[in-house]
Amino acid sequence: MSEQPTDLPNAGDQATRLIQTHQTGVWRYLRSLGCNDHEAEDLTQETFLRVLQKPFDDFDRAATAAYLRRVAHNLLIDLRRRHKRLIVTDDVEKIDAFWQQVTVADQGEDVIAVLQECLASLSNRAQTALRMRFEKRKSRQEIADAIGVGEHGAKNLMQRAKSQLRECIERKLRLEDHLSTRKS
Amino acid sequence: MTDRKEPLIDSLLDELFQQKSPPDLTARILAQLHSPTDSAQVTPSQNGAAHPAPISAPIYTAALQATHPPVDGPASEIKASEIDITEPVASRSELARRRTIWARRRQWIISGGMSIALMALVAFGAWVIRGNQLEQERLAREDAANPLVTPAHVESPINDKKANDDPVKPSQNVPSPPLASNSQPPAVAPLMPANTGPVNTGPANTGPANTGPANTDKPQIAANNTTQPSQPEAADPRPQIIAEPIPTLAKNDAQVVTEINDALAAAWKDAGVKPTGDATPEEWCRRVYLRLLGRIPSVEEIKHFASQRGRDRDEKLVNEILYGEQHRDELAQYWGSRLANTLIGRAAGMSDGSDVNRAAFERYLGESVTTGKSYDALARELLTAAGSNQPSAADYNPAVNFLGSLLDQDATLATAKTCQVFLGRQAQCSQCHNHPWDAFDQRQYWQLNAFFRQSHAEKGKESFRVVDKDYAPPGDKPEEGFVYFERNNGVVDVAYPQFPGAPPIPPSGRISDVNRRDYLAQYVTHSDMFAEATVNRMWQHFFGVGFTPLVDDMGKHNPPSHPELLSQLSGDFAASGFDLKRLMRWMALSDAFQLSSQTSPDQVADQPYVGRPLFTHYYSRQMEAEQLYQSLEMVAQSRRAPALIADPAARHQWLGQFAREMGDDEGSVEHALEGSYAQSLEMMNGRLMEKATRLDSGVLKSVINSNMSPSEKIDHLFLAALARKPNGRERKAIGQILTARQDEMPAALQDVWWALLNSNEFLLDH
Repeated sequence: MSEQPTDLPNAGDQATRLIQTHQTGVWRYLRSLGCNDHEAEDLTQETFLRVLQKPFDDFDRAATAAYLRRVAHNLLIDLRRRHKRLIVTDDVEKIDAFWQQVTVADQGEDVIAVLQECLASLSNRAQTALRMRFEKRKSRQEIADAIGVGEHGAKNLMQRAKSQLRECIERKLRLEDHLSTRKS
Repeated sequence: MTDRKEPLIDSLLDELFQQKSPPDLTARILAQLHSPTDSAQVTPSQNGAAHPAPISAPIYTAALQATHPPVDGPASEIKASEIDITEPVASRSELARRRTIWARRRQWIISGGMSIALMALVAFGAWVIRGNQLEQERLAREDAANPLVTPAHVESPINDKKANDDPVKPSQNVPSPPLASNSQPPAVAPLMPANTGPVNTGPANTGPANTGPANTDKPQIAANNTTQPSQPEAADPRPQIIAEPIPTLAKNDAQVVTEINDALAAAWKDAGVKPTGDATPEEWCRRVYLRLLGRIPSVEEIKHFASQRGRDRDEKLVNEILYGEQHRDELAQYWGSRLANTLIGRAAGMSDGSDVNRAAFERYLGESVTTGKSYDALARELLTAAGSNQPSAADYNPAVNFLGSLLDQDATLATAKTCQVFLGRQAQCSQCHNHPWDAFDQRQYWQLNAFFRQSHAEKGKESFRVVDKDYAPPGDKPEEGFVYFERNNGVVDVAYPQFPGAPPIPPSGRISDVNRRDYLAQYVTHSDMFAEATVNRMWQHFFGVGFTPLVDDMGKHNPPSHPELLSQLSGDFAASGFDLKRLMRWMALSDAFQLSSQTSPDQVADQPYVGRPLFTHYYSRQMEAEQLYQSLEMVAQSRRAPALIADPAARHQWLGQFAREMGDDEGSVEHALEGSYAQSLEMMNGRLMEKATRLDSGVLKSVINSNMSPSEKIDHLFLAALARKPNGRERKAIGQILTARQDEMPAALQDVWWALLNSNEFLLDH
């Protein structure tokens, strides 16, 4: 999905533009909070319906994106509560800060591109493990067997790889300062 | 698939490797906006996620209608999912117009239906009220026919004895092992005289029913007790609180006192300090009266004590004060006042227009102490109290004065005060952020706060009523009784009622499902923090300094000076059945309490006011306002008991002039009896001082009219004010004054008496 540059004169078109400008960012944000595809899709839709229910001022892209993320997050809390479940991650603030930075210019497309670059910098074993896990949906035991380590070894390998990926992305997107401040 | 540590990277890897494309939801969203009535039917089944009620979007719907011209066709035949944003604009606009008309019609129908339902509800309510009135009239007729049966008896499902013995519902309905052990009478200590122990205070006097001299209190409390069990007990789904049972205290009081002595002696040895010598019997007698009864002893009481011989005279005096009948009312007055200061502050109920019934509250607290009510039972009563604080009300309950004064809109004051008073922890900072020094983080604060959300204080004219109602979060149902709070980064979060370290309780906000304050009271009184905070506060009362610099701010940032002793004493206190009188007795009979207030160079390491107390000497400190008032009242009175019980109104008026509420989140009170101008003026020229130094009453009158020699008269005045005789220098100076004013001896004695009462030594508990 690409953003369509629009210059539409009326409110309906403004709604269209708002959705097209931010929906992918909101969808990615929700997925990073642990939503599956369906949940992310429905909650993204719900977010815009909630926001468009009342008129609001779209001052700038970053502020609107932050507002939409907040609405989305509250809807997710509400959804989890109804299902008697907890949000998987307790690192919401860090995730929020991340998306606040990366959605200034686009809806996260840069992040995917940078992720691909960072993947290439990982060891072959780590790349293999992550591919098996996320592309072929293999279990941890299958991954361990394939790369010749124990199950815990496979788990540690993937965790280290993901940690490296995060650091690489942060570095490339020049987020180090911001996130390290938050961590402290 | 989701990794708790890296959820962000997980989602990105998943998107990358699965080659997922973010969905374009523009058409769906616009269709929903365009067709609000159909959206609820279409979207929930798309992906299975829950959706709220259909949303109307007036602004954007109108905009879409204006943009697209109408076409013919039945709107109801077209589903929202079939709408394509690329279809001809004319047909979509007409569709929108018709749907708007249909939506309006539906709104009218719904509004009409709701109006009819509302009218039916009002009619039903009126029918129920009328039914209740008829029932009450019937009961009144029956009462008139049988005057021996009071309304309380008619309404009460339990008999009066049970209500008086154990008036708080939670302790009846939530049986748990610790409660069972706490409710057992404490072991009788061998040191305690058999005829003065708490068991001899009389079972008929136990319980808050006897909260004061007013005869009307008893049936009113009973009536209140009858209102609480109205909830269905048989269907009570509340689980029991799992806690370690507290064993009954196997030690006797002498063993506990020895533990205290040994622990302090070990600390002295470790620090290389030596304790000072013992205080004189008169000094010790004075401080025992001040700490236990809140006043200095009379000359007769000092002489009686000093004249006794035997090692057990200290124990006799302490037992006499704590368990004897002659001091019962004084004990109740002083401890009622002290506990009220801790619970609601010094200023609440002191001024006209205050809705706190302080006199009744102090009476209730004082009686709770004197009748030997366990402190955990008292805490539970305070935390679960419901009813009115107006004595004439049918549901009168003096215990509501605690929470009633603290239940603001969000119950933040009640949360902070409960943590402070019963757990010895500061929590108010955590209301807004995770405070590094607070014992609880922000989530835990709001989880605690959620316990109070069913409770409300209904304000009346100079009174209030604490009631429990179903609680529902804004815009949500009572079944999910969470509270919203805003984290420091602006993220709105929710918290359910949960005590720190305990499992969550059922989330429902309905009273019929769960009474949250019942749970809170159980968790608080079963917490280790409860016993520790109480012991620490009591230690501060007896020794001037607690084990922590601030007794209301315990925690890792304020480690106790004697952790083992605090832990040991807390365990003993809990095992004694939270017996406050025994706790007082242990401290009053300890070696440290016997020490003189004189210091020596050997005690340099003992620095109580910078957090390193070693208790090598008795820390002198100024009398509290209550002690000063009661002491001046005593020396002003000619008669002894029972005139030592001051008129509450006069006492509150005098004490109230020194207390001022700060109006902050903590409910702090500024207290001006700490060397202020107000104090100096009151001591020099105040009404109470004038009363205490009159020639025709009190100590001065008895001295002037006596046959004592001038020297004996001076001794008597010194003993009355300072619990000692004058030294040579003082005797010589005063002798010169009396010689010079032989013609006006009463006036000279009056001046000496005034000077003694205005001396620092009189003001100090030393």
